[in-house]
Amino acid sequence: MRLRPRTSRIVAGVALVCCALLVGACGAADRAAVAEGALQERDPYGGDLAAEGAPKPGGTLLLGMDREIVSFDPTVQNSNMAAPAVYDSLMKLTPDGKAEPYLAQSMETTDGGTTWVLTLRPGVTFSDGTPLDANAVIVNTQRHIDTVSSPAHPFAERITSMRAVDPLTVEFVLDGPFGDFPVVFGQPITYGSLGLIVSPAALQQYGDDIGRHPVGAGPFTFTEWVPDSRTVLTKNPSYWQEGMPYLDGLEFRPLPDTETRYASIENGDVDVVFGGYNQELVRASQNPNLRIYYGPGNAGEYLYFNFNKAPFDDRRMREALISSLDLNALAASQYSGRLVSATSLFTESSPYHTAAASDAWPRYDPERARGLIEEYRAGGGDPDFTFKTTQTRVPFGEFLQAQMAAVGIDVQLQFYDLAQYSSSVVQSNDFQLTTWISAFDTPFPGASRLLHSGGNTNYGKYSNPQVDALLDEAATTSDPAVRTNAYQQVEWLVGQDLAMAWFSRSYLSTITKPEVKGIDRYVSRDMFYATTWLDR
Amino acid sequence: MADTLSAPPTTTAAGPATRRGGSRRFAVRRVRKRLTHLLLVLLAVTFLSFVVVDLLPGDAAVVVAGDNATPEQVQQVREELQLDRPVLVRYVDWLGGVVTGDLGRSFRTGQPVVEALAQRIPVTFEITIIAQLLALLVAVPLAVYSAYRPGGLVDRTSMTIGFGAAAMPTFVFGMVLIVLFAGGVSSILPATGYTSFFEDPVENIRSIILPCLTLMIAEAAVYRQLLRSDMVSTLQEDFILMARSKGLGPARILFRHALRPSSFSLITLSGVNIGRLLGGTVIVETLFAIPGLGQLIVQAVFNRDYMILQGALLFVAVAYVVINMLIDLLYLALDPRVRRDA
Repeated sequence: MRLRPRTSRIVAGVALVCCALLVGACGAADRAAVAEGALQERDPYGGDLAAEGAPKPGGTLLLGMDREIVSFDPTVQNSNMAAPAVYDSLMKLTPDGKAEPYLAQSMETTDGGTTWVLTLRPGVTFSDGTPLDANAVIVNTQRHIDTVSSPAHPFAERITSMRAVDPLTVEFVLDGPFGDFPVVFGQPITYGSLGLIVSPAALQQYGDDIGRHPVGAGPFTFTEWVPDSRTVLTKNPSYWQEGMPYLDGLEFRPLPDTETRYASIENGDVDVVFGGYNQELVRASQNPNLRIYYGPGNAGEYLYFNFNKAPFDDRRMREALISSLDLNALAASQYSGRLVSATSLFTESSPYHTAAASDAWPRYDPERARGLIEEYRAGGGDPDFTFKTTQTRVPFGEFLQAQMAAVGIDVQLQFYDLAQYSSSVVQSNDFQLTTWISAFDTPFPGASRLLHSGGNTNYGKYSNPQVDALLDEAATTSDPAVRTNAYQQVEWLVGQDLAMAWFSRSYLSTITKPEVKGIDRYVSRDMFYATTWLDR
Repeated sequence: MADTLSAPPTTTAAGPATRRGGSRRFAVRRVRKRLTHLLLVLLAVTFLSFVVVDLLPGDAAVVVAGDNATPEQVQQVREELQLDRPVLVRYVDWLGGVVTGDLGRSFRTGQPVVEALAQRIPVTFEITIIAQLLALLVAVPLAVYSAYRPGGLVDRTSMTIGFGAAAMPTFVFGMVLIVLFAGGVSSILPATGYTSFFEDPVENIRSIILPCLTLMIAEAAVYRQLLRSDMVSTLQEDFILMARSKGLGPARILFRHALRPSSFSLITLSGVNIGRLLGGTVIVETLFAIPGLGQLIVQAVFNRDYMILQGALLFVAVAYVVINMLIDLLYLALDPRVRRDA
């Protein structure tokens, strides 16, 4: 169809208005990102409860999650942000990577880590009125032992016997010393927790359907779950902590799209969002009407080298790759200039980190990279490779391709949807180089999973007997000094081996309206909701 | 699924009028034929989707077990989901369930598929229907007036804006609306979320305004264009000249005489669109975080949740055929000449 001059002017006008609107939308993000420098840690474990004043009771908190709940069953693999609200946790992780009692009264070993005695608080009941006693803990732990697919199965498997010494005391006997055993009762549900206790009566009633009808002893009770829409929890009137929770209810909504998730908190549709990426954290940190909670955490965003395949089975090529990545360029192009760079396994504030490990990490040095690649070529190796990742990481793939081209390596890019990536690339070890995001709170089991030969997230099949021995020692010992030393050595060794290419910490954050107080969280974002209150 | 689409009926020269009873019999016959059709289409669609989904790279058991799973854990999940059995056996099993009203359970959440569909369908249905009505409400008067004064100001302006709107991707328009009304320029509507009508009617309306606007704009543009050109040719027919010479006013001529015979293409297209949108509002649903059917289907594909996917596809196929059947019957009501066809 031919447009008359006047019509085409109108078309141009409309197009111009549309463009202006779009540019306006993008411009806001750009302006927010002008500030220089890496994102700073801010209240990684939550707010200062004492300084926030006397809590006001009442109100319902709306929370936006970046992914939908799969199940409330602790034996089912998923990251359920609402599960701690329903169950609480027997133990709770501390900033120095240990665990302290929370719903439990104490957890002690009598013989250096093989026998553990867990004591429960008297008078704690599930929201159905039945007691949270030794028997309940045993029933729940047995489920993890029996269910091979439970994420906590590998830990539960180590229990050789357990018995109720009295109604409030459970004794676990393990197959050997395991100093970090209490951590397993406090870690996030994603890694498999033995500390989320379901009412045995409810288990009896619902059987395998317990994941959709949870009953626990947490500050809130389960009311309703409409998948992909909302999960509604209501205040538990018989909660064990006197006077808590302060809120009347919680409503979780899945907001998987990063843009709309951020729009929701900015617009005030929700009170809290769980952020997963750099972009939303950067924008929130610039917005005076929002409050952020963020800690870089251990590991973060990194590349897996495949140790079973050329060219990265050769240390020279691993070093060449790390030396040819210009993190400043990456920060500027994809992290709004606010990249939190990573040069070691553990984050700088961790007691298991040493400055020496970071100092020894290769710096950006394309000259050196070219030399190493030449050497590798001269030895008959082919340095070209394929980089496989998910469809959401296209810009990163292109960045890598350009950086490698600058040092003379030809990189093929292959993108997959998440399911295909999981099964055909990662789980089947069919890659040369791939990328990953994972932040862990505590060195155990995080470091073992990632670096131990046969660790379940050691997808690149890195293997160093010395590292294995140190990781085993660290998990086994009950002596904090031995443990710290072992992890520091692990960090040093995997840095020397260039087991992974660390490049950035993760950006797991909690973004709230300023009137949300009493936030209590892990760096990996799991939250405890008893202390949360609304100042409105 | 091309054979399930109703082609606009071809009208032949008027013959002797049929008796009323004859037309009812005819309608019944038509419905019966359509139902047989429906069964065949459903068998084909479900079998094909079952096989295709099975051929998708990416192992459902791995996805359900999670990235942290050991090979033993994956194997246990595979056995629990019965994915170790051949695809044909699983299909026959599933079909047996469908006959008894059991569509199985979600691989991931264990939610019964029937329950998941019952939660999603009303949401998508509401948005789709309201968006369609809005689109027609905007398009029909504009088209009628544009046909009445072709080349006039209304015609040219609505065409230009319409082309612009139809050319813009849905999600861009959605984001523009978010910037304008939900957090950017003003903050008067929610950016995300959905509230059921039975829970809070006002919130319900507020939560669907932006999604419906996003969906309707391109539809309205196409509808206007279609109806306008059909109407322009109808207005050149003899019976319009006749009506005009009888001295009838323009409004009566346009709405009583010209609109009905001009609306066949429009009705066909809007029927096809409703069917298409029932499973295809995914962009809008994702953008505004609305728990509808489109989102369910896409999530099911990404998570390799075959049971949810099968159930949803079954519903979309049934809806498609049923809507087209209704439109087929609507032709009978709209134009007596169709009743003599076939």
